[in-house]
Amino acid sequence: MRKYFRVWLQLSKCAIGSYLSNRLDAVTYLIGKLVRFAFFFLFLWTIFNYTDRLASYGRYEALFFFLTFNLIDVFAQAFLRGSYMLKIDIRTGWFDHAIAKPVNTLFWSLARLTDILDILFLLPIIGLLVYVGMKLPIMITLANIVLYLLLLATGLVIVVALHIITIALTVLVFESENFIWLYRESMTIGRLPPEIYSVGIRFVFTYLMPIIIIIAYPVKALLGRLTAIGFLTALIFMLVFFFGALAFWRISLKHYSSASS
Amino acid sequence: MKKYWAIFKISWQRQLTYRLNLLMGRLRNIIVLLLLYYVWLSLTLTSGKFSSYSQIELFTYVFGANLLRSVIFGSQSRQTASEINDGTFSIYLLRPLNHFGAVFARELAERSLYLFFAVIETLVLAFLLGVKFAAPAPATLSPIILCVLLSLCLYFVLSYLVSMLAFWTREADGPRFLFEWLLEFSSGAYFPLDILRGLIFTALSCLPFFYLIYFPLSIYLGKIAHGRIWLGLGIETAWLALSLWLIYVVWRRGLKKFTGEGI
Amino acid sequence: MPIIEVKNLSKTYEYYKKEPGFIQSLKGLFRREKLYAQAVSEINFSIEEGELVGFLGPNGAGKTTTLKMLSGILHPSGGEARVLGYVPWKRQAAYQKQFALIMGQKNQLWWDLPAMESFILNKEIYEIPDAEFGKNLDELVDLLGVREILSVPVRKLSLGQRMKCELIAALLHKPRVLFLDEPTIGLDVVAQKNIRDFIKRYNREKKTTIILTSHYMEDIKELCERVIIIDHSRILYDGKLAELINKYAAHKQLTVTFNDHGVSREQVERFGELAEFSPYKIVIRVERSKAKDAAAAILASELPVDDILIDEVEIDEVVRRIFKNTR
Repeated sequence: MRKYFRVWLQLSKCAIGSYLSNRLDAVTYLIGKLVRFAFFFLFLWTIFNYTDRLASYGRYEALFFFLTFNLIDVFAQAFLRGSYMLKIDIRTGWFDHAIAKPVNTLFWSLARLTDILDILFLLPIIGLLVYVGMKLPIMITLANIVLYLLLLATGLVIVVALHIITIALTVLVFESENFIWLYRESMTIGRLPPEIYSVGIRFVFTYLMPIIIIIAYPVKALLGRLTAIGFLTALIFMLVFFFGALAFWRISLKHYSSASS
Repeated sequence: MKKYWAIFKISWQRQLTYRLNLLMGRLRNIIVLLLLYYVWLSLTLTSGKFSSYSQIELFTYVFGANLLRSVIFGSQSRQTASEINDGTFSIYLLRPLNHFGAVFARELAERSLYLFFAVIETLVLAFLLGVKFAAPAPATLSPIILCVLLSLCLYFVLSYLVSMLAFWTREADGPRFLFEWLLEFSSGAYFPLDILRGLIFTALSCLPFFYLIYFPLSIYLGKIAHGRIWLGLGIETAWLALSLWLIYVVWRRGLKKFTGEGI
Repeated sequence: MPIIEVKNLSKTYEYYKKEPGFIQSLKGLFRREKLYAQAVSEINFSIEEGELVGFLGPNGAGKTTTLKMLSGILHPSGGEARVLGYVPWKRQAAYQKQFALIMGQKNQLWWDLPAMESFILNKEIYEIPDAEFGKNLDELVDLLGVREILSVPVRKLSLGQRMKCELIAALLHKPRVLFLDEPTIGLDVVAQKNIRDFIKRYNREKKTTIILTSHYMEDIKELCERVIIIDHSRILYDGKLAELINKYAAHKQLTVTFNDHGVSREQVERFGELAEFSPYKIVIRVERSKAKDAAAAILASELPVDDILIDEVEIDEVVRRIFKNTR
């Protein structure tokens, strides 16, 4: 276990070093993300200049959904960015080297790139979450907060599983980086409260691509709106996705055909 | 001219071989479209309107933006940056082929393919969701078409300019990312810009991006007085001319810097 | 007990047919034909500890695929293999800590960072204790003479320097088996020689078992006593390089130069098969066993011999002939 922490540490050092030696990239990426964040935030805020409710949620509640989305999304970006590098790594032979080394290939593929700027980005997001949380028009008990954090953790496990599935697909099919983008674009749905969507869409994004479980369930738990069935669903999905993803990964490694020399 | 046609044909083929990629790209657009549709649906549920837009107008905007996006937001010029950085750009300098022209030909190929899919998508989705579109404002067909063509070229040129940063730095991904997200919002691809009041709207209207999507859609929805339409088109043309001139300047400087590194 | 054993190992790749042409591309959206490429067909060989074996073959012969299977990167389609007693594609950490893989032009070093950072990463991965790491590193760095470039970002190094750092990264954990896939590809002549010398020395001193693939004859000639020739997924020859020459090159070559008035064709034809003729220089091919006698005969004759040279037929020629014969 200690070994993996040390490997992760050095890996992160390398990733950060690599990142920082590309300062222009790093800075403009950060600014780009801030721009995106600011614009969406602005959009959400502006909507409430014209109306009181967005599908039964007020301004601060809607913002809380948005901020929770960002928390999870940026966290995944910060620590799981390695998945996006996989295609390049396969082509350059880096992945081959990774398989041949005494380090868990899954761990390597996921942890390959730790994004320090995203880690920094998490700070204002958490700050805003607390601020908006305090402005929520309802009583928030400690129990609610604990539930929020628990479901957040569940959501993160599912996110990790989704990343594992996408890299397994990359290994198998190779020309498929769009699978990662599929997940990421689906995440967009989570920016807003799920009640705005039709029943059909809510079904798809709860039970097929569980974005709603990942993002909306924690928020609803905080707001006291999550049913017991909801909790159970989240738990089951977490287990199914996680172990399913691991199995899939193992299969993909068996069928790996490598890039030609 | 024939050689550019050849590039056009090959690009079509290339797109089709990466069929999964193609589907995924389309899926992406559909998801954004759905998000926006449902937001507006939800917001206009009780009163049938939001700000100065009726529900039908908002839906038209959203679907129209999706369609325009597929036509205007190209991706071929993106490769230019990596071509410059890994040295394959040199190939263009060796062949009797104008890089800008070649990339533009590729772009037209990709755009026409995507237009095909976008139209189908839009119609199918509109049908499934039971969405009706607003009719275009009278006598706006020609300015809209002209505007769209201008926007296609303007986006291409701006994108190409950003790619040319690669002449000066190995890091062209970050700036491109920033460029694209700035564009997504300031072009009005997400929402009609005039719901943002005051200073922000004024600031955005001074940018070239303003004319890419928000402007043609506003023409369509009759939000712009006739006289101002032609004024707007004029400004857009001016932006295009300015950008083309910038490309010329940057190209010459950039080539001097170009070291053919990496071959 | 051989350290590497390969029995009936095979690997078949699947891929899709991509037809040129516009209509075909449209069709390709809906239905694609699956094809199979036989990369390696039932190959057999075994290698003892300390051997330096060369895999020779043209591009696409199956050399790299074989190495990748022995490294555990690819699962075979059939057959079995054991390295150091382990089944490679089980990817057990105990096995992985005992071998190293180097692929020419496919770096494991971080592009943007100094090589040192990659070395430290390997140190953590292979769990090399600090003291041993320091010692190995110093030894390798001195052997290869790269101390000054350790803190230079890898992308700024020349190909030759990069290769040297690759070697260090791979050898830090003192592997017992080393797989080298085209290590000298793309390098200039001087760099190639440096790498070759290093490999030879390392093999001699550490008794590391090395498999080297290359399509450069020079590499094989310089380094390998034993050579395995692979072409079109099959092994054509497995044995000593010297015997290869004896078996496939039945002739020796005599190059004789003359002075005075030179010679005429009729005067020299009787000594052997004339490969080249000019009045002052001839090249004759003579059967191996008769080469010495032929040379003696020429010297004993009244021909104005200036110099005489007895040579092997070029190895490259030999190998080329082997490939040609099996088409």
